[in-house]
Amino acid sequence: MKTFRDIIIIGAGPAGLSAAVAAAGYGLDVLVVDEQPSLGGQIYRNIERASDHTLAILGPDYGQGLSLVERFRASQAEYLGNAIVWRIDPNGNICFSRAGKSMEINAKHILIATGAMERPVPFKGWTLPGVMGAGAVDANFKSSNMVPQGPVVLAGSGPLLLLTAGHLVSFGVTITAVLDTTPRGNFLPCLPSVPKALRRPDYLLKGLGMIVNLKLAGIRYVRGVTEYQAHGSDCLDHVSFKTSDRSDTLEAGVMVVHEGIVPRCDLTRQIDITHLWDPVQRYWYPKTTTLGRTEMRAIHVAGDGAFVHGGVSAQLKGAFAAMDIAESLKALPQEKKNGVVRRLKRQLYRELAPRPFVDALYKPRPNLYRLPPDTPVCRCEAVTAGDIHQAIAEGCRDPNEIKAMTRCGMGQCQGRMCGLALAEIMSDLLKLEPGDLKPLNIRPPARNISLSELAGLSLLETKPGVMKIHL
Amino acid sequence: MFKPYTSDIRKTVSIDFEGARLSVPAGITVAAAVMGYTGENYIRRSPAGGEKRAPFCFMGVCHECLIEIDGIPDQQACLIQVQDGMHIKRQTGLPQVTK
Amino acid sequence: MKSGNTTNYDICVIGGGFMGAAVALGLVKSGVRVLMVDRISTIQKASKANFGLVWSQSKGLGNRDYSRLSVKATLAFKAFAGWLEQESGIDTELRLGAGLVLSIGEAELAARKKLIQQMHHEAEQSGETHPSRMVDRREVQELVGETPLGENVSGGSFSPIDGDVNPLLLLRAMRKVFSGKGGHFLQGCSVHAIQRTRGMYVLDTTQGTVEVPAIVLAAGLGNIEMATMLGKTVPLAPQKGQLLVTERVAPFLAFPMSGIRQTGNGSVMIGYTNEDTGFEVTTTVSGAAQLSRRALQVFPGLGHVRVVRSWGGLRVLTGDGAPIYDKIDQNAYLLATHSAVTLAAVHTSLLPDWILGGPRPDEIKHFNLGRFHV
Repeated sequence: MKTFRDIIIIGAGPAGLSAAVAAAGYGLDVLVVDEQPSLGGQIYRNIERASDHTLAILGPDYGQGLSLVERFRASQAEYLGNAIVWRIDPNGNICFSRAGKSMEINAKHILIATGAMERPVPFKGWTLPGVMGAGAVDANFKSSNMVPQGPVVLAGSGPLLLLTAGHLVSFGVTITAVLDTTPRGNFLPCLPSVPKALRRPDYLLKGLGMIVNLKLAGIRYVRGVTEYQAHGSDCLDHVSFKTSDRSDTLEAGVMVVHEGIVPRCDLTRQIDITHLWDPVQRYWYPKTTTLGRTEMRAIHVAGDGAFVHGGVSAQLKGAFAAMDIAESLKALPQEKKNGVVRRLKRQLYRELAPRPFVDALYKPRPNLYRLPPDTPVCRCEAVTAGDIHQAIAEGCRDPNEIKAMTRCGMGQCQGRMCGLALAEIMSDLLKLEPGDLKPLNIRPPARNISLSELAGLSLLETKPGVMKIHL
Repeated sequence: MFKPYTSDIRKTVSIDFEGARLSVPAGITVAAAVMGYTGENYIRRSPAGGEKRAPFCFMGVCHECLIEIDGIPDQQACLIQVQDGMHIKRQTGLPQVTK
Repeated sequence: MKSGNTTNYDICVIGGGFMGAAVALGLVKSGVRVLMVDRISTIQKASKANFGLVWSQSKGLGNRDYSRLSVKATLAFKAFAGWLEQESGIDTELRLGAGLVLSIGEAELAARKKLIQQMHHEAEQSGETHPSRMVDRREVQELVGETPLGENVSGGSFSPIDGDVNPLLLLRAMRKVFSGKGGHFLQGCSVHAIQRTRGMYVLDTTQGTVEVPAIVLAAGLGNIEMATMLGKTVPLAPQKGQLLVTERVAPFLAFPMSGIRQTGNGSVMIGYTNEDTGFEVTTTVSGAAQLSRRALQVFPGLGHVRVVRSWGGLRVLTGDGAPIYDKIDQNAYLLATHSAVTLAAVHTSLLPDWILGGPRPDEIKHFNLGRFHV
């Protein structure tokens, strides 16, 4: 396969596909690589194989992805699925693994469009089989036409939690209860954002509609939940929860949890771009311009991986990044780019209007990471909150020191599930903000690659041997 | 843990799950096959503590779904579609250094 | 920590890695009030990026003092680690009694044999022996046990006293015992400036000002900057080494080899390159590929095992590879070595009395700055 391109786009979700269509449209040589076995990222997952029935259930939020995918297929952009990118370099090199083999290829520009993930929040029992993120429900439905076996308990906060509950109702899955942890006090601080949000009545009404649907379906909806826990001897058996004035226990076969969405920063951190801390939604995100530019000339970022703004914004930002890259490759005159960008920005702002309200309403509750000592934080290496507290007591002041001392973050997920929690726990104990801390180092390979695959790596240029035995 | 939403009219493939022959719809993920068509409630045992684990995110992040496919271990089951003739085996101990 | 005129400490150790922690530990045991400061992780922390070998067999070619000191430290490690475990409750996973430098191919084996013969010769000249011997492929396989070696493994050099330790646990234990005995450990504390006024050293740090009558520079490569603050230059330079770490593997290797060892939790460490690339620690694709290929030449059965982490670290190389222990100012001491893990076992006992004004121990009399004709 060709080893040199104009652009390599990592991620075939709305941002990546939109960027690919635009870039190919400007005559650029585009390759899209994606780890999933089908196009669409998370939101438009497996849309090419979606049945009419699936499209009916998931509605236009899903269905609108079809036209994007069709335009992508009609474009000249090349697509490689099942391709896991595990390293990127500022000079445009990337290494990816596919079908058990790794190779290094290069592009003049890389667009990172790897999207977002659910905020991983440890709680007692979260490692039990049967506990899963809300995204898992839609993912299994879209990819595999499968739904959870009830009874299902949902817990957490955020639009996706309610959306997932609504889908489960549509699937006919029994829901025991929805445990909403959104603090009752969140509403007032959101009021300043309301006028802007009212520009999008459709968006707000949809949210209200979700809650109404649940009540109509007769599902127990508990508000002001302050904590929840999963129980079982080796698999999930039941869920317990507390509110300010009571506690209860619910039978559960599956527990669906959701505490918001955060950008996937694996590759942007691996390449060492500056990241900023958002104090409202409490996550790190790469420092980019609206057009997706970073401090590295050859690296752009677009979509939820740059900041969590949803699928439609991702599509627009993907287009911006493609235009910016096309301009720098002299495939798009600056005048024309500015004109299109100006026009699209109006669309973007309309799209972003309700976000400050939603982000504030569903901001992570305080004490989200104030965990009992026996709570597993690092799932891979079995490191508890107590282990982390102990390391801090011994003087550790940096997440990477705590990682070294406790092994938190040293497992197969490479800190993806525990990194945020580690920073938040440290910040809570040391009275800092995570933005004051240096996040866990992420070094290549940003995925687990076998020794034989690394040994057989097809490199772009062979370097002279650097090996010498040192004693 | 999971079940088919509607009876699938898509074509099926035949896979081997730990010695048992199973017929599953083509195109589903290996993770969905294990958690929905085998009757099992876990996908591996944790290398650190040995307890049962099942996929958490189903989208490639959590790395709980690591499984052996056709003799090659540590593959992310949620990112791979079943293929006809696939041999799937769960990982319940540490990898051995073989020949 | 108080700023200004009051001082709470008799001595400040700048650097909380293996060197600093070992010396600080020894100092606090002597009864003095010690402050140990350590800055937040930057690339220049050899303590966080090393292999964990407790090693003597190849140290000190052409330098009898260094060879002797390494052997002494290796032999003292068991008692040292035992004491640390007793005091801290932390098991440092020390293994001693077998260390192998593996050779692949005949050329490597011949070169290794020549080096070991030279070390034996130099030892004999002083009426001593060097605890090492050459082994052939058959012996290596016997030592390893069941797991088959790659066909190009030709043999190597073996030491019956060498071994390895979990470096992170060792450092954690040293720091814990230091604090437990009354030492003050300040992490996230970086020293910007050092001045001498009225017989005191005034340290300007990110966490305030410290005034102490004596300081120890044990900051690894950071010593270059620290020495400059005192108007001195020191022959220290970085050398990059890349390592790979795998997922946990069923136990198969019960002793360390110089480029491959299995840790207490089962993960395998594979190393390491030697690169002169200044002060950067990036890992390279070609480095990873080469390290992997070498690992598979040793144990082909590792092929399906996954690499979970890799990193680069900087060795603290002195001008001649041997340690530096010297006074750099009236009451300032500079300590540097790339072997601070092995030597930790003697640093705690050997250095504090000298640092507190006592006579320079014989074992370290040649490890001064003067030998570099600076």
